[in-house]
Amino acid sequence: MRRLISFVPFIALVVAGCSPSAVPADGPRDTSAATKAPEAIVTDAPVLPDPTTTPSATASVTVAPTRWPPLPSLTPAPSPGGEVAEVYLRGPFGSLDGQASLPGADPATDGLRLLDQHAQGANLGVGLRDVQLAFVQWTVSIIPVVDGAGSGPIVVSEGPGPEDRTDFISLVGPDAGDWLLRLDAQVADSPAASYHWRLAVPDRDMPADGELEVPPPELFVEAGRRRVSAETGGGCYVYTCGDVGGLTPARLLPRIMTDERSVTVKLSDGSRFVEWRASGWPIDGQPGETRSFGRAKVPEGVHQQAVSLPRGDWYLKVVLTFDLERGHGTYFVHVTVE
Amino acid sequence: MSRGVHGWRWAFMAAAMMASTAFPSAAVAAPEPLSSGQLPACAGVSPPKPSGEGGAPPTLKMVLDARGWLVGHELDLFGGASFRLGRVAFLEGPFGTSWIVGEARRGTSLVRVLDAAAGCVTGSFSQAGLIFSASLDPTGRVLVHDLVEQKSRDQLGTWRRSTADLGRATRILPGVSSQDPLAPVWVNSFAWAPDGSLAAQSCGASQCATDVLQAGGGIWSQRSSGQGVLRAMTDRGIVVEDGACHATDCPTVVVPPDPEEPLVYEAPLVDPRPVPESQSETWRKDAILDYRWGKYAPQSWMRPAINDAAGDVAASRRSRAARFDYDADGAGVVQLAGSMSGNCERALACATRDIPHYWRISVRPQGVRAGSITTRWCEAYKSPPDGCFDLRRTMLHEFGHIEGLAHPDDHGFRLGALETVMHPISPSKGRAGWQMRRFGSCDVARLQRRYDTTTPSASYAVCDRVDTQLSVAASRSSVGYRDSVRITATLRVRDRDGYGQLGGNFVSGRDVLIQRRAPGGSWTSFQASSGSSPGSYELTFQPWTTYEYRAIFDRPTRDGLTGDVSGVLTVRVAPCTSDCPKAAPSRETMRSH
Repeated sequence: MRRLISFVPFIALVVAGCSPSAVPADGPRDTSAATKAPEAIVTDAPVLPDPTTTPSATASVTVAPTRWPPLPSLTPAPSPGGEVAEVYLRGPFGSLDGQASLPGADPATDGLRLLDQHAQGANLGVGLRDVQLAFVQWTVSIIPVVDGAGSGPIVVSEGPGPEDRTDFISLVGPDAGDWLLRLDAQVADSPAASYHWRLAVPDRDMPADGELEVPPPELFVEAGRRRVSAETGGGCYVYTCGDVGGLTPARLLPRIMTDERSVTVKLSDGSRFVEWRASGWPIDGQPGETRSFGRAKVPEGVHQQAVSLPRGDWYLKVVLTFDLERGHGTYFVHVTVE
Repeated sequence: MSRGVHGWRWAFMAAAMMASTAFPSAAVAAPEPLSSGQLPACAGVSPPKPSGEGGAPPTLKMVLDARGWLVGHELDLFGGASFRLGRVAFLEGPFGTSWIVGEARRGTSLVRVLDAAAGCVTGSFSQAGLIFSASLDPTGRVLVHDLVEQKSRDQLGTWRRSTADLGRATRILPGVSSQDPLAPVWVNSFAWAPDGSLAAQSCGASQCATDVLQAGGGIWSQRSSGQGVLRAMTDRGIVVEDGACHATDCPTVVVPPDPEEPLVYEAPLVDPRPVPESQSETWRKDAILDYRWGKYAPQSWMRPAINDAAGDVAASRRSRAARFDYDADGAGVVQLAGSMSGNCERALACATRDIPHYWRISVRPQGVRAGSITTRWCEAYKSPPDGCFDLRRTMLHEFGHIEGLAHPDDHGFRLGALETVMHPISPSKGRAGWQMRRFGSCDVARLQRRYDTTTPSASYAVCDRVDTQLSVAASRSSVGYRDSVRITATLRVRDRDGYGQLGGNFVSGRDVLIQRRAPGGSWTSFQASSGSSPGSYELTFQPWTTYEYRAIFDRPTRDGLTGDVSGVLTVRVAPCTSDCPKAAPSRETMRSH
């Protein structure tokens, strides 16, 4: 058994659009999508590097064409009926399911989310959600979103080959630019289908050792006009898991004061988190005093949360689940509610 | 954690148990309609169900005004119905299919018992004073709750009600006195043991105290400054969080009733489930991941601990998960890192992996600060001091990340100190599990789901609850009098998405019974023998009459499988036509393979 809700009010949802301080992520973006939303609302914002911390991110800003060049087609094979297999693309941005369409069909580009590849030539992979399934045949191609020369698709993987796994296709991501990545696949016991993703690749090289680390975004904690960046604790973010040995003393934590009995939390790069949990205990308090200040899944389109706290000095812990299966982050901050 | 029994409390509780007093001011009344909408009452008065599947769980959300102040609560239940509750409200459960919802208005509490499966209220009561916490016993027949006087906030104790007559309340425990060092009380919690014993905990600003009312009538108390939040009650004692970890990501500990008995850190699984995975991709089954020392190589005294941890992986993975081996030309890297960034900035150790491309483990050197602490590896000392970290245990954790394991606590659930090595905060010497050198049961459960078990007869991690499917078949559907018929049961893991590599597995080497009965009669059990193919269990009969057959697999105690019962099949037997006995034989021939 467990107690779901305590008596004290602590949680509030704040839709990003309701807050004048909501700032869309900067960097290369899908401008067609950006023009559809009011400026203060970040809806499905591309997860892209903040130019202040990643000055080399210079992927171009373009408008997608409405038609796509023809792609290599699969060898005709009998396509069984049933549901199309769920296929995801994994990379430095996390994981995202591809939009399936009939083989050879044009993608609905307006709905494609822009994914930040983080570096030229980064490792990518296409996998099946159902590990019991297998790719029977596939072609992976990349197509520049705007290409004055009118060049066609570039095939980056065809299979299976003798060394290939059949549940996960490893790829090397493209160079800088704005790309459509397309998979034409026949999956065992499923109809053939095409899947599409859109990639933004900044002008940044992979580390010499080929091992990319993608830093998690900071967590901004705001109260009125005050803002602090919370201490980043452990957690697993994309490729990297950090393991701490203890908590930072409260006197060394970033501190924020408020007289509003709540603070707002949001990520420094404007990206989304899909679930949050906040808990805390009084500064200089004792064991057994940890209190939950809320836990909820975050609706689509919401990019920040208000966390309500009672009056007092709190050691606040916020655990976020990032979107795109990027992992989890734990953050700590000292909050004084006057 | 120091423990002691407080005489005054004993005496008071003993008196309360012997001569429990009906609460004089219990104002029993019909439930008042709420401000908007009324909870539906069940058509007949049916007691709450002690177990079983309920409908969608109800939720209680706070309603805030534009300034963020609490103005009420919204209760959502049973597929869309919403009800408005007051500023003071709670929702507790599930208790089988039942939930308890309470609210207080003008100094009176109104408590309802909801049946989530039926979508209605099975009972309710109102009570002068404030009720903040309530619980149903495992049978669903007893409801207990706390009670607080509204104005003085005095604790009025723990009260017991029968769900068949919620109007009558009996005080079974006194409240915490305002003079008690525990006061003021912040929260009261309840937990039940399967035998009906009740643990009632009150936590104040500096400590918690737990009173246990044993089903047999005994009472014992436990109070200490190190006692964390009550998690469960078992036949071995109360399960509390180990408060010494400062109330975050705490392991649990069992506190036995006898103060002379040691604390038991291997707490029973309170919330057993496989640790989450950080990446859905996997290494190949039985892969050997070789590692080399990185540019900043671990010092010679560190290397045995690292290599031993690789051995610990191999010895405790109980699955086809990857193994690790040192090789000067290995693709993986283990290295020292004096400074790290991002979520590794304050880390003792850090694991980076992009399955199936590369992996690397970075370890903080001895004496270098990792956040607010100075790294002290126990292996660096002849007599390791308290507070040092076991490098071998830390490396086992990092290898777990490389396998694809994540931190359970980051996903919102907690496991005992010995159920996993994947807690996000590494325990230092003196803390529960600081020298754990094997994967815990919940680590193994996830490794098995990701990489499969080693053989069909291998045991499944007890942390898991993998459903099985038992089927039964006969070699012939009809036979002549006393002809042989072979009954074969097949045991498999049910094919569910979440089971990963385990779905559909054949399960061998278990105890499977084959039962039979004459139509309409009672079942007789026979132990089946392992069959010729994985997951099969066989028995050959020479029946003299028509029987129904079925197979039974009882849930094993040391295996993470659930039990199952097959369907029933009938093998028809022709009447005897020659050399027939004058009477039915008392015992027929039964042969096992």
